[in-house]
Amino acid sequence: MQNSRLYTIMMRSVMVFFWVCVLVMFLGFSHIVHFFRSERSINIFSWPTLLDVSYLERFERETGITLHVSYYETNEELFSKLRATKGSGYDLVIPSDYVVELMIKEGLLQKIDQTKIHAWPELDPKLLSLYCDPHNDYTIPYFWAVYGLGIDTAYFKDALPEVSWDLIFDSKKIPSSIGMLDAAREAVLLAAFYLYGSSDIAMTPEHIAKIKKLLIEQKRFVGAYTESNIEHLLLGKLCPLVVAMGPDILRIQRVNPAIKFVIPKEGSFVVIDSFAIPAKSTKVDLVYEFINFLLKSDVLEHHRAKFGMCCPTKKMQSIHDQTICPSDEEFAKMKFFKTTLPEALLNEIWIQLMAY
Amino acid sequence: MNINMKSFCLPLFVTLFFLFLYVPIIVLILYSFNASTMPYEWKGFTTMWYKQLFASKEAWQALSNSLIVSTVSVFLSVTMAVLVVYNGFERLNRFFVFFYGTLVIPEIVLAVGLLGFFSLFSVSLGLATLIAGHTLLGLGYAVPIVHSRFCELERHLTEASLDLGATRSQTFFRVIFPLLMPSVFAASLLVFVISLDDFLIAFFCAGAETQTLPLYIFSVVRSGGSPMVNALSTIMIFVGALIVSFIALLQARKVVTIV
Repeated sequence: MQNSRLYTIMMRSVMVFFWVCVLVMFLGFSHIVHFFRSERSINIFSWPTLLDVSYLERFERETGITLHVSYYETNEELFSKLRATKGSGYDLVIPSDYVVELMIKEGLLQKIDQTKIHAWPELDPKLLSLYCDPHNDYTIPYFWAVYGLGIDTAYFKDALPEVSWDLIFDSKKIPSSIGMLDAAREAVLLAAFYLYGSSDIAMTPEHIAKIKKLLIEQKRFVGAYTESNIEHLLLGKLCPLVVAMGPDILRIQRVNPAIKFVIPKEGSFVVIDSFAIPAKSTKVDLVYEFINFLLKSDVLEHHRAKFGMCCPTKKMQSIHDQTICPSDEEFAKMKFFKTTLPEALLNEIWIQLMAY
Repeated sequence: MNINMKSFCLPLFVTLFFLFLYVPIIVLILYSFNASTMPYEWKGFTTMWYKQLFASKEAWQALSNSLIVSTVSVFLSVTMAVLVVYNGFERLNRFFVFFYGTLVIPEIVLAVGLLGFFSLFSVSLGLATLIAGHTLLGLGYAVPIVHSRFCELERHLTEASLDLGATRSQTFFRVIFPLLMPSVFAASLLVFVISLDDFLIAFFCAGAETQTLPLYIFSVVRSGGSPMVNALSTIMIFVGALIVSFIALLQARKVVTIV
């Protein structure tokens, strides 16, 4: 009797111990793994149309550093993911200017060492010292682009209408189906710019109510809210007009020359994507190696030719396509997506609009 | 005029219904053989996307990750299911309903909740968290299957076996477990297929370094998309269909019933 009782207790404690081991192993698995392998690798979170895979492979061969690249489609996605994991998990992210401001406030980024970037003296001064990071403590500017309208000239065969933001907001001029921006901040600020001539003003509740009304009226005509699927809309002949960034339209133009990119006469928005290092990253030296690789002239030139973005260095200015990358004077007149409206309010407007 | 409307409408309706379900999949499979990168034109029949897929290092890495995660989570969730059902049958009958929870909750809510849970305990995301997520998902399928099979057995088999002199472990391994084998087998297959195809939990809980097949497809689609994704999807559809038809065959032969 005593023997079998002892046996039972022993069996049960072995089983409990087994499951406790499984649990502990799950919680501590990644720590154990990192302890055993010192991997030369970095995790990159990037825009889909910014990095060419063949050049990434070249970097991996030259330096032996493995690159794990994940993609996001909107800045909000990047921000939510980084905030949920409290700035860990990725070693390099490429945010747009307006979300850099938010990330610095939440402490998600770490300071960069400008002396480690070899190409720093060659960077275009108009891209440095932006409102979001006045001393470039956290970011290094990379490619930038301008927003405008992508027009299928085959649809407007008789006469191209005068290109202004009326074409997407005025219900008398809007075509039957358009593609609209898919991010809350960009759509709201675009509407504010259209209604009041400037997106930087202090917004009272009446302003916000008018913006909401404009966006809701526009929704009837919107075929899709997207910034990344515009090639399906334009090439598949679903929408003759989309709101998009210059480089995206440039790439579509290579497939179908009838598509044109035009910046509306009232002016437009510019967005600058910069490198930033999340706060909890420990592989900073490897990241600097990668950034230096990407800022080399031949790599920059290849990416510019392939994706059509506007380069961050001064000497590449002369080869810019004038329709996609405006000159310095026009750049000075462009607006940024900055606003004093809180994120919560922007998200609320967007959710209400989507639910309408 | 002997045309019977009924004998004509029902087959038509069924055909249209199946077309609606399967035309997108057929188009997907067809375009994996398309020589052009854009799905707007047909440029000719080719198998180059399949060759490119087999040459891609990332695809094989994603496949190996997917297989590792699926087999480990199948093993864990089926083991847990069998143990829970066997030990808790009489006393915990009421609580088995809670295992349906993972089926009822929208998977994205489950995935976001898991992410919050892992962040709370500062568990860094990776293969282990992904396996944990898939095991949770698998439990919701495995427990009902094993439980329903267990209910079909004689109620007092365990008691009878113990009465006749078998020890506890002999009762389990030689009496109950062989009887549960068909449902264990069916549950493993089902959890395997679900874990292989699962996207949402992998998206939130896998971390940056681990990539499973659905995540790989997602990143290729996002970075421009290519018919390589169509090729991969075609292969996955066929593998999944094979497994599911195998389960259906078992069901038809009355080897197992799935709730």
